[in-house]
Amino acid sequence: MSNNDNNNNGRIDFEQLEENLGRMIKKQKSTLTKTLKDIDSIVGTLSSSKKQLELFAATTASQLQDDEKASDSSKTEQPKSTFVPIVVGKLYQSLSESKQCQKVQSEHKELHSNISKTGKLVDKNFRSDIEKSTKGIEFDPKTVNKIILYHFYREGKFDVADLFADEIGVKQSESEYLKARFTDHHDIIKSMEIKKDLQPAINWCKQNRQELHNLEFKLQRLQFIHLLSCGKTTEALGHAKSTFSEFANTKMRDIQTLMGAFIYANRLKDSPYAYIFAPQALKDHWSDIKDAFARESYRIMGVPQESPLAITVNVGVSSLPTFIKLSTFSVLQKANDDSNSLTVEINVDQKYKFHSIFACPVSREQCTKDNPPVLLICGHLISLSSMNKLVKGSGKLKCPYCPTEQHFKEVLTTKKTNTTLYIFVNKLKAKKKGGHHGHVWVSTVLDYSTLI
Amino acid sequence: MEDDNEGVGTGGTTTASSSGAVTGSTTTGGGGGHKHSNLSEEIQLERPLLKAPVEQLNKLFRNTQKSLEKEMTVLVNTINDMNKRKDTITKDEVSTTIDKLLNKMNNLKRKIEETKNEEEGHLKRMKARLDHLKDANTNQQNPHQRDHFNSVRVDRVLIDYLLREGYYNTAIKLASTGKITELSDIDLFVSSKKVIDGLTKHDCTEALAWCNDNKSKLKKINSTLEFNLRIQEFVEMVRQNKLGAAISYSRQHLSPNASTNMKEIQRAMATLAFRKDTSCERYKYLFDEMRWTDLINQFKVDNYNINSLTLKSLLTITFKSGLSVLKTESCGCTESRNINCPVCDKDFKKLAKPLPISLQSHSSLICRISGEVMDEHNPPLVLPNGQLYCKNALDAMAEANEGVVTCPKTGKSFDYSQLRKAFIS
Repeated sequence: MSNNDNNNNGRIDFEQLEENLGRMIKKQKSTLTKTLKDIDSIVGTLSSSKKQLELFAATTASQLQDDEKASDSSKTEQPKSTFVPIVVGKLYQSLSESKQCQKVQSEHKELHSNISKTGKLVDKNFRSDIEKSTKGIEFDPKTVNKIILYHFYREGKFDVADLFADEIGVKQSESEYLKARFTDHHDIIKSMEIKKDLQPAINWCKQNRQELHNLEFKLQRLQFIHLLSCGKTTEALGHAKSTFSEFANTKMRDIQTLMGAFIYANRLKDSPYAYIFAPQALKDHWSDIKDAFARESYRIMGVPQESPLAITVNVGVSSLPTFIKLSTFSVLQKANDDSNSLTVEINVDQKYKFHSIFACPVSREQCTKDNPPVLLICGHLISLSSMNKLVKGSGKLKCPYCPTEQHFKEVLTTKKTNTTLYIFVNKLKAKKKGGHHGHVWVSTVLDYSTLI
Repeated sequence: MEDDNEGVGTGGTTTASSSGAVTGSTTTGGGGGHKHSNLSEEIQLERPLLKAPVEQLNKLFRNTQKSLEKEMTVLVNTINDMNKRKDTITKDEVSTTIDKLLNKMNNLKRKIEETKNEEEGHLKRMKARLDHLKDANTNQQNPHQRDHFNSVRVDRVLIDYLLREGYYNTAIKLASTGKITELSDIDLFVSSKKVIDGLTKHDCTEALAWCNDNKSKLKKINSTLEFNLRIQEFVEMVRQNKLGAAISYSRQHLSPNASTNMKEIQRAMATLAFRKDTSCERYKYLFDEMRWTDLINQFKVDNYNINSLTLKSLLTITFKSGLSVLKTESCGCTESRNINCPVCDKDFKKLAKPLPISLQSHSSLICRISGEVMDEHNPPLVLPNGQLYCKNALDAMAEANEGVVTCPKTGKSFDYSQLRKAFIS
């Protein structure tokens, strides 16, 4: 396996790969068909030789009998059969001399160049070093299995999960418990997806009413839209009558809008209501409501919105190229292995950032309780230590990100005039620095723990 | 620090400078600044997906070529031999010889027919895999397609893990429910199960057959598996006190490696002089049960190697990088625990324990009310008490409470006009 740095600069040539594969599929078919045909023809040659042999033998035997009848004198030796050498000679001619057998081999061998070319193309377009950064790590299999089992149940893959629980020897009581946790959730989603039945979700909402805000109305609304879009006008009216009154206080406008749709009941798709009733809009309603339900349901269950396993795998794959790049610099790799923090920052999708981090934009250091972020009067946040470095001997400080300049006298003036509105400016008495006189004036010092 | 309640004139009129100049250069990740990570880079990691079928195809090709060559040579030699003796050979001999050859040819044909089907299976798989990757690559801007690719990838990674760990039933079920059987190497792993089962039962037969099947590839990677299997079979004979058989076995199977592995052979041969309960460390290990586990592991490594699969499971590889990136100082602390954060889960935290925490030189503030990320569209606002939340959350709160916001942390209430915008750049 080569360390392929020649991988087309990150572009994969799918056209070439496809074309090549197409060629190989054809070649494999033609080659193997040919090989089989050749073998058939060899079998044919052999069989016909055998038939000839039998035929000759039969005729010779009957001739012999005739000869015997003709003359009793023939007690001499059997005449040497003439047909065996003929048959063998023919066989030799058609199989050995003609090189037919060699041809079978060499023709099949041609397939090799296609296979090896395909292999090389894959090597050229894809990287072979994905394990480069994964030396010496072994995860506890028990914990991994537990995580996987949870993932299967969470995702509603109950059949798979039950099989897995069995294969890893988890107690049935345990797996049943996990399953029970997610059964209702997935039953409700399945009714929505497969039967377009919102009733189970609505019932669930009624049970959890005090913890929900909008979901129940959203469901009732979709139920109404669904009935109307199916042409069940009477049912839609009945549904509106029996359910919407409950929401009259808060959702009057939505209800009015919905009821207005009756005017166009027969031609909703071309009406001003198309934005609700067009096929694509309907599809979006269903997928939105599914997401909304899943979100609320997971929230109330107290489980993560997205499978932690899926997040880890996907973040893992997307960060892998960087890790591989990193591992080519042995110094960095070593530093990575030694320290308890990565030495290089790796970009992650915003949605996979779960904890607040404040890194000072000036020093790039992560803020801590001892070095908290401070808010300048212009609104920019920087770390306290960076701030202290920026304060000149005169007490002047220019924001590193905007032209705002603040002098401690200015700060004082503002403080006097605006005491009630802003309480952002703290006076730091500590931190006497050489060259600085008295205090360092800073804006609000945010307690680091207030960020996270 | 003291809380002096000092006021400052209105800020926020200045523009937040773009972070571009400062950021970006510190990351090695593909140029930085990408909102979405580059899927092409991720797809480039999929070499095993495409290479495994090629390797299996190659193996089938080699074996067919080998048996073609062998049978054709036998055929030609036999006919040549008959031709030389054609004047003396009897009809009956010719007849039986032809029968034998016919039998051989028919067997060969049957074998090649099977191979043809198998090869077509691999090609079909390859096509499906290439299509899957190409689709994802072409439609990477489409979030639905991307989510789909990602979730299939999670299943693929899991199937790979399950197969490696021997949870075949789960793997097969997962592949069939996800309709991704063609994207998983089930056959490859199921056929290696025979070898593993054999070795678990202390039987080398299947393993040796496998070695023979993959001879040229194993030679290429300098595998010592076959030699070690032979040594093991020899030692087993010694264990059962079949010394004569052991010696003749060694003549037949160990001697070919004499030039390269003389030391090991001598050590193994020396067991003839010891007994299985020897206390001599040097020989005790040869009789050790662990040797079978080692053989299984060696088989697995060689099998992965010759099929261009990764040595570690894809789950291990992705978990290692994924957990390192997700792990922060705050993970799992009671105060900052985030239910959605994988590493805040105690099982994940356990796995992440030996891994480094991620380095963050860019701020990312997550609102403690809404859980939303604060950015230019949803900037952080600072309450007079120094607490910071996102604008969306505070706006919603102010709207519902006639312009008054209450800090959930301290319970203090403030007028919305007291809030100040902060720039985190």
